[in-house]
Amino acid sequence: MALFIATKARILVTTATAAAMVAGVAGLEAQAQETAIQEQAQAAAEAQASASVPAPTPTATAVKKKKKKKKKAAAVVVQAPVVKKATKKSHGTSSGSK
Amino acid sequence: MARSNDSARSIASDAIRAAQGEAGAPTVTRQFSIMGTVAHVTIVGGTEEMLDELVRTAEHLQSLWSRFLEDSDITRLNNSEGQPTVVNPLTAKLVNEMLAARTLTDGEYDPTILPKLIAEGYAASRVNPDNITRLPASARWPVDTTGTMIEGNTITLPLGVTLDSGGIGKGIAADVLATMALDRGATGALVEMGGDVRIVGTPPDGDVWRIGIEDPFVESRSIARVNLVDGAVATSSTLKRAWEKNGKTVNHLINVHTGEAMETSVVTVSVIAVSAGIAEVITKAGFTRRDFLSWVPTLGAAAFVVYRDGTTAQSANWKDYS
Repeated sequence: MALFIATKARILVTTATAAAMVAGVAGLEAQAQETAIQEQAQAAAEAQASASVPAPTPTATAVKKKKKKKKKAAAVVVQAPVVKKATKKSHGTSSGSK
Repeated sequence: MARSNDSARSIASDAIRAAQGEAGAPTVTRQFSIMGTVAHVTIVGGTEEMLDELVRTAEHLQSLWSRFLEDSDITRLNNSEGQPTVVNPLTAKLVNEMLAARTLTDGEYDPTILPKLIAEGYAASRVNPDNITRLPASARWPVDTTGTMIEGNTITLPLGVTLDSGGIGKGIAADVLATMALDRGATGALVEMGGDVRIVGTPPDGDVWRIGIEDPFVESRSIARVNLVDGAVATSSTLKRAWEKNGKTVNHLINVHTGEAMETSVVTVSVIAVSAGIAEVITKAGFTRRDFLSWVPTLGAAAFVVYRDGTTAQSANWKDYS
């Protein structure tokens, strides 16, 4: 099993998207605050790729020891780092929409 | 000035997280109904007030993105019939992500499938059947989104285009809430919404987050388990959200090649990816794409499939996470 070193990667598009959304929902009750937050979200959005439709593009990569064998050009998506086996209870479950 | 304030906040957040990690951070959890499903949130180094804020945020996203609500951004967009529509910045980001996801999945995820979903019988909300999706007569599928304009918070959809946040909305919401928890000072968070699980930061115990993949035939059991330090797992199922139509059982997953409810030997598709939104859209391809398990790793993702006869299959890199 390959062992990946977990880096402190920054996933710009998805994290910035989420960060922009987080900034956008703060101050829901106050109109003035909401306007300020919307401006912040807007600024964050403008700092990202242009409004033309990009595929999700990460900017960080996990360190891999294995050599890549793929010939095709892969979409650039960050892979979640590998971790060692664990035998304890799960923290959560993925089960399909209920 | 703004940049130094941001740096100061970032340093403060990092310091809080470091201190809480050393002290043994408290873990708070909550379960609540949202977006037609049940969400589970675990925050390491969090507070009940933080959970309250996350719940309010999820409710706000629902109010913007639900096709069942008359005044949501999505409903207004769907009835705009080619006219520019001002939406919340969050909705503008969602639509951008929707269109990007369609490109990423080569169209296997299609946010414009709504007219066919309604034709199959999913017009009313399962939570409140009085809330019904209404589309204009111009709505159609298949439809080209090429002329979509997103200028700031103003979106212009080509005539005929309508959008459904189902298939990506819960995943993105999970991403938003998890990131928000870290932003508010938590050291780690797990957010699960309708089967889409996003994890960030440090788990409550050990150094990995352990996520079970539910056995679709025995709900109380896991058929697989993955271990992550970051990223997300999403699962789509043909067994959930099903109903009878003309004596046949149909479900909410529409085959983008036929426009009809999915008829497939695949029961569930689970995908590990960098975010819950991306994982969620990739799962859709697992029901129709024949080369799915060899294709998924090219996106930097991994997949696990359960078939109707109980057998399973996985991408070559799935074992790296189990």
